Order: sequence, then C-alpha cells, then structure tokens
Amino acid sequence: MKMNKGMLVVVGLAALAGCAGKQAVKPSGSSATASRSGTQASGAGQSSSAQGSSMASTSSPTLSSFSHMVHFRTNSSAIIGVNRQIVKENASYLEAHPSVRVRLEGNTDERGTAQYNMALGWRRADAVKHMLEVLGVSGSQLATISFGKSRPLALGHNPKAWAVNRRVYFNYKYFASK
Amino acid sequence: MNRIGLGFVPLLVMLVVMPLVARAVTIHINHGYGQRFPIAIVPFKGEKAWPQDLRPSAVIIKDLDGSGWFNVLPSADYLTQPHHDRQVEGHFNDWRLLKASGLLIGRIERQPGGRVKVAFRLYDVNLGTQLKALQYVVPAGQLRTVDNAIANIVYKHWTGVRGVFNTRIAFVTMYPDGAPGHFLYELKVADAEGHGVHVILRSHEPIMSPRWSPHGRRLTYVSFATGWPAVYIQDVATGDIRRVAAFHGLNGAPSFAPDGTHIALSLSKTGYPEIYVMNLMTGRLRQLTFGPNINTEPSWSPHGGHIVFTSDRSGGPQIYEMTAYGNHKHRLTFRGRYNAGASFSPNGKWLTLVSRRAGQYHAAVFELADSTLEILTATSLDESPTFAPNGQEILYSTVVGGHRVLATVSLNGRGRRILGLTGGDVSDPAWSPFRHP
Repeated sequence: MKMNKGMLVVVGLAALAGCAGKQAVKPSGSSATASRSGTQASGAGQSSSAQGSSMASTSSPTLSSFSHMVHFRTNSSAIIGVNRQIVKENASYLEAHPSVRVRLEGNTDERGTAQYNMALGWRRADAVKHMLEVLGVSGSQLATISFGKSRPLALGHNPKAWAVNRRVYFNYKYFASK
Repeated sequence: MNRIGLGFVPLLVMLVVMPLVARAVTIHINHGYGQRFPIAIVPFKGEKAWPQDLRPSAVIIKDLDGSGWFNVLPSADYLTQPHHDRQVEGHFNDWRLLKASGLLIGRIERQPGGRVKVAFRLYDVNLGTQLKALQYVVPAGQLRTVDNAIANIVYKHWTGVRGVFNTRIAFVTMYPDGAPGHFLYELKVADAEGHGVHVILRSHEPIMSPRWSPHGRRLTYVSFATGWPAVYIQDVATGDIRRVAAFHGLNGAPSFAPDGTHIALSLSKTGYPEIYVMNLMTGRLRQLTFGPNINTEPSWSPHGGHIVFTSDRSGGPQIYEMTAYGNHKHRLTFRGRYNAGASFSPNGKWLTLVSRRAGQYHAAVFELADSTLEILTATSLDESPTFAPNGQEILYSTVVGGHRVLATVSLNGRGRRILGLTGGDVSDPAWSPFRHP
C-alpha cells in the first residue's frame, strides 16, 4: 500500500523533471523508504551519472543507495523531515570516504529576483554544509555554490515545479571529474 | 484589472504631469487618459526598395504606436500621399478633415558608396506650419537608427519628453539543453523595441543580471563560465571581457556607479553576502554592510550619493538605503513581506522593484518622497523591473502563456506591451541609459 503510493510519487516527479525512463534510479538497499525513493528520482535528473561513478566503493553504503537531493519550503533554508535523514546518509558516506569531495549546489524556485534567489540558494547550501559539519564531516570535503533560480529541474510555473526546484543537490561528480 | 487601474491613477498623474507641465500638451492631459495624438505618417518615397523592418514609415509607426501616446491614422484614409513640401503647403485642410494634428512626410534614396539619404518634414496641421525638416546621409547599416531618430523627434515634440527609440536593452535567454537542469544561456542586446537582437555571450553555465555602464558601452554581469560565479565587464561593441570579481563564495549583483569608475556588488567571502564597492582602476574593495544576513542587489542613485539594496535583516527581504560610503542605513519599504531588486528612476524620485502581494510577485514603483508603493502589473511572476532612460516606462520579465517574456508597462497608464522575442525563456532585462548626454 505504502510502496504503491511511493511509486506514484516517483513517476510523478520523474515526469515533472522530464527525466522519465533515463533516470529511474533504484535504491540498491531494500530498506529505502517510499518517500526517499521519491526524492531520489527528482534528484537523479541532475546526477546523470551519480550511480556507477568511479568513486562507488565496495563497502556499503554506495553512492547510489541514498538520495543526493534535499528540498526546502518557500523562502526557507531549514532542513526538515525526511531531508534530515538524507543529509545524515550523505554524512555517513562522506565520513566513510574522507577523500571524496562534494559540491553542495543550492537552488531556488523562479519566484522573486535573480540575485536575492542567488543569496537564498547560497543560504540553503550553507545550511546543508553546516549540518554535515555538525555530523562530523570535514569541511575540506565540502564546497558550496548557489545557482539561484537559473537551473530549474522542473520547467513548469506552478507550485509542484517550484517544490522540485527548491533544492540542494549533492554533486559528487563535480570534483570526481576534475 | 479595474482595481489595478484605479490604484494607478494618483501615481500616473504625478509621473505624467511633471515633465509636461510647461508644455502645450498639458491641454491634452486635461482631456483625460486614453486620448492619443492623432498623426498622419505618409509612406516615404522610395522606401518600398527596403525590407519592411527598415522602412522609415513602418519603423516610426511601430515606435509611436507602441509608446501609447500616438494614434497613427491609417494611410489608406489619406486623400493624398505627399512627398514634397509643395504638396503639403496650402493643403492642410485635407489633413484637418482626418483630424490629424501632425503630419510626417519623407523620402529615402540610395547614395554612392553604400550610403542612404533620408529626408523628412514634420508639420503641425492645426497651425498649418512646418515644425522640422532634416536630412540624414548615413551608411545603409544605420538606417534603422535614422528611423528611430525621426520617431524620437516626433515623440519629443508632442510629449515634451525625450524618446527612447534609439536606446538598447540587454537580457538573458535560456533554452533547455539536454538533461533537466541544463540549459544554454545567451546574453543578448537589442534595440528598445526588441529588434536587432544580437548575442554577445553564449554559455552552458548560467549568465545573469546584466547592468549597463553609464554611457551604454559596457555591461557588467554574473557568469558561471568557469563553473563558479564571477563578475565580468564586457565592452558591447568590441566584445572585450574583463573578469573583475571571482572571490570565494557568491560574486553577484554588480551595478555601475553613475560615473563608471566603480561598481557595487555582493560578495560572501567573509561568510555572508555583503555589499562592497570596487574601484575599477585599482580593484580595491570597500565593504559597506556588516552583518549575519543577506545583503545584495545594490543600485546607485542617479547622482551616485546613495545606494539602495535588498536585505533580510528584518526577517524577509526589504529595501534599504545608505550613502555610497555605507553610512545612514535605513529601511525604505514596510508594506508587504517581500520587496527586492530595487533600482532608481532616472530622476531619482522613484524606485522600481519586485513586491509580493497575496503570494503574487509584481513589478512595483516606490515613491521616495512619501514612501508609497504602487503595484504596476496584474501578472504574478514578475522580475527584474528596469526604468526606461526617460522614466516613462518600466521593462520587466514575466510569465505569459507558460513562457518567460519581456514586457513593458508605461507609467502614463497608456500601454502594456510584450516584446516579440521568440524562442527560449527571456529574463533579467536591463534598459540602457541614453547613449549621448
């Protein structure tokens, strides 16, 4: 019952992000919850090769076993609900792999001005960085950037698209490819 | 619609009457809104040899109609199609019958060496006098500039206000490109009507927030071309690009000082987004805000003495003002919980900004003298409002029919237009100053 609901969310968000098919990332751990897989699907649009990355470690957890995306309420940088669990999973991974660096990419929805949204995206990325550090991740593994509203994942001009776009993306690929 | 129209009226009266008060046009204002100066524009002799978008009468009609101030009478109704002064003198009654108050005639001829000669005469039909007669000889590539210059002359005569038809706009267009969240970004410059578009920068990383230098020769903007945000200055004509700020963290919201020697910008290198002023000769920075909150979107007053900016020090974004040295900071906006992205009108008496009401983001005008805030639009996703250099119109980006477009709203209540820029989502408009003082 609960799983069915989750699958609907996955399909819905994937369609919104225009990434149906290609980005159907499946959690490798069977313990992944419905809402987590939903978040992951929306995140996968940007993490075109997060899974199967050269950094994937043989030890559990692997990069593809947790979401790389957290979401926010309007004009807020508070990390709440399921997003806290997602940050914790990323923290565990980063602690277990001290040589891995991640770029925390803050984004906003399209409402408001470009440059205030740049600052808001920065604040979201900074909030995630701060929580990771509190959880024990070394600051040297973390970089932050804000794209403001310039890189929407969902292209609609409606509340559903806005919710998808208010996000911080854990970009593990950025430094791996440098 | 009605509600917004009413809210408009007090502001409009002030905006319109001010520049016109010493002019004959005042009489016209008393006739009420909506009335436009009826004017006859005869197709120029010889213009059929040119493409439609360069023909003098076509460009001038489009300019004047779009301004909201003129009613160009259809040429099919004209009793004659004069091209010479002698065909007009003594025949003003033909034009009075049409109730035209102005008449424009002209001719265009090719000259040796790829040049073109454009001559025009402008008449006051009621007085039966010639107002202006001028002739231009220019390289053919500048024909559109001549067309716009003639439109500026007509506009100035009847409104008393300098026309903006030869000014330019800069904006960003983004096109989806590959996976979700990936786009092609183009920084473009066009004339004020949205014609003559050319791309001055193209990137697969975001480009945002262009702002013009005082004489409209250079643009400053934010580009992520290196993978990280940095502030650049680009010469529009030569394409020369100079990176002026690439500090750790945010490098955003650049804005030229009115004398062009400094920019204000927002940097987070100390841990929070703060406003700085950079000397462009020395690169030296002066920090103007200090505090653990967002300070961004600085914009200079026309004389350079003050800077307005957006800060969330009170909890949400509001507009503040300070001196160009960072003194006397005080909050300007109190109505509504989201006011951001302010910039000055050319006369320094108003700000245009984005204001949220009931969850809708509108272009708005704030009057500094009495702190009133007027919403200008009925659209809900407005951003980047920018004054025309004559202060008569505001250009902004909004969403219409599912696409982001550029639109203008005239402060005399006479017109709202959507610029015909096709393809992609268009945002971040900035209107240039006048090119020559």
